[in-house]
Amino acid sequence: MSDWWRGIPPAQAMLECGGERHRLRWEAGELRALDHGDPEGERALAALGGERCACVQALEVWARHAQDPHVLVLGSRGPGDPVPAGRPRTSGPSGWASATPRGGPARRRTEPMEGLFELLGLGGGLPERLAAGVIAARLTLPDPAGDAYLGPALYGRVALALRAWLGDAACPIAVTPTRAGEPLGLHREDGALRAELPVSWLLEVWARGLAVVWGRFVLAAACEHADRLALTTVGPDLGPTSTGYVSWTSEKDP
Amino acid sequence: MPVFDAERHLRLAGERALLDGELHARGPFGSPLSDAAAALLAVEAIDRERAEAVVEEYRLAVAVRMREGGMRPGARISRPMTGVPIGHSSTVFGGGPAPAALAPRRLIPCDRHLETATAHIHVRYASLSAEATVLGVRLELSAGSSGRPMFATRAGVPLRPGGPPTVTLRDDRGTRASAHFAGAGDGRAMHGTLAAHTPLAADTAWIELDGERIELDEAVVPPPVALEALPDEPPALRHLWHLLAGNGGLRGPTPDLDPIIETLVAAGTLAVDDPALDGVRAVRDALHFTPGQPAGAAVPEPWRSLLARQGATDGRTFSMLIGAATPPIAGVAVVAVELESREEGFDLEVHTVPGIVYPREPAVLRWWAADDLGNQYLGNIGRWSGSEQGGSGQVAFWPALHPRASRLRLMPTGPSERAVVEVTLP
Repeated sequence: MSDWWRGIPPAQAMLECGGERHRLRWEAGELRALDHGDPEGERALAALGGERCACVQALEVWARHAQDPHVLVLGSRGPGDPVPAGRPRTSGPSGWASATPRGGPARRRTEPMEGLFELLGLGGGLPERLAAGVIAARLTLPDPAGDAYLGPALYGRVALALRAWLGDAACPIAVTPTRAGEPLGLHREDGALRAELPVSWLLEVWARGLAVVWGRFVLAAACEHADRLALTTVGPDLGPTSTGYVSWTSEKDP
Repeated sequence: MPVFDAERHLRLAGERALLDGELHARGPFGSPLSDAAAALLAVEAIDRERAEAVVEEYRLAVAVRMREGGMRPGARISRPMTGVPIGHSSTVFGGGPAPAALAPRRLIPCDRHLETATAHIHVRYASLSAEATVLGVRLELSAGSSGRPMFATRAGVPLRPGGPPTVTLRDDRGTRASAHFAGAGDGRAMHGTLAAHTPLAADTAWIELDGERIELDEAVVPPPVALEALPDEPPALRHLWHLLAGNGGLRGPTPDLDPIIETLVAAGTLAVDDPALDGVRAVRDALHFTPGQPAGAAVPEPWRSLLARQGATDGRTFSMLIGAATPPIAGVAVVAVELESREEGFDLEVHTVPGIVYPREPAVLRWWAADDLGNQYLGNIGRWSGSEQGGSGQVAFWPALHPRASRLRLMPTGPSERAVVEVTLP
């Protein structure tokens, strides 16, 4: 997991904190509260009973869910699946620290999700970066292709991207997670679109926002150099694949 | 062949349903996700806690997308087939201790007519046990000053104008209890029960209703009750037959069986070419045929007999008290109180412990009946009231009771066993 964030652009969202609009910025795998000089110190003070500001709470919630697979279930599958800001109807009173749905069993199960609903509604690309971190963590499991979360997460994100790409919201989709050495592919069969893709597609393609590039669906993205990716793509006619390249430049902190 | 991972399968069902908008439209409860969860539970491919967790996660996934406009909280999934008391637990799939068997009721025919200031009450029977005191009644209501039905005590003090009436009951020990009406009707003539808030003495010699004494004479003798195992069958097929019999077969939407069959096949519990599936599909299709149209050749029994008299209107008109209590079936104990036959079908007044909280949703019990001529009947919960602890109401059976039938087996049926209450018809 040393450099899983390579090629994932920085992201930033604004947060109401102490009566002001503060910036939360994700870059190179880390979330930072840009308008707080010493968030670690504030966290320590809060742990001792001091007031916990919204930015610090957001950092804490982020850290708590950095490897939480529920993020993949609750979070957006892509641009066609918006997760609006606000709170789900089943949640308790507003606020980062009290984001626990009411009710007996639901409460038990969702208590660990405290604050996650707010995080997923932050926008600015932060929820997708949180998901990327979770995916990266699960890709280190012994058999990620067989993981109960990654396979369904792959299906949901591939299906959404394919339907948007083809302009067919009802297109039947089947996705088979491949293992190392197995061929990738996208073809039609029995009226359905069938994709064979590794679960690492989630990190290498989806998390980088590269599911569809130049009007073509991206099957794979491989790092060629420190700042260049080779994309294996297929056109809407599902013909032969072709390779294209994208590069990026690192942004400096504003 | 890859090893089947039930949780993964369930999550994939959740993803598909979420993307296809089915979770938004139907909620996770009653969606392909809950159908798959119930099927996997029925064949023990997944444990209850895991299945609940997955369904709950997708419920939240919909909720965060709908935010304040989300689905109703605390909704329940259709009950799986693994013997869970309905509404007995606050968990999504139920669970919890099975109830103790109920004692047979002391059921006394009354046929007593009482006049109050604003209603005519026909007390038809009294049902007494250590757990409950219930009077079966018909009400004819007089109009209140507003023109709407108004209920009143004997003293003429109106109670909840336009709402359910409340009366006071008293036994020969001096115990008093208020009793609330639950039933159905056209607002003027109502049919239902007055259930005491706390039970009176089960062996009381009389009951007073708002001061009017009703002598309790000889109780009916409850018919015999037996517990039978269902014919040995693979759990996957049992689950499919059970689904088809839900909502009385005809009364509700036929479940979308194909994805459920796919789930059972994927779990390795059903062969995709199992010949029994022809029968399952034939029954599903036959349930949508025009009444009176003969069932196809592939429709097996008991469905063939059931469908043969679909739409018949030759039922005799009568009512009879039963008073039989069954042992718990799939965690639900049933008291069969009264059978009332009509031209188009017949109704069974029942009491259950625990209660059936969401009778419109597929419940764990199916209500089969069979007569001594080999005709089959299937029931559906209609009027219902009560709580999670206990409920009572009416199971409406179809088709019409055969006019020459002399005996009837009433069979509340669970996933693997059924109770049989055998009654002699008048």
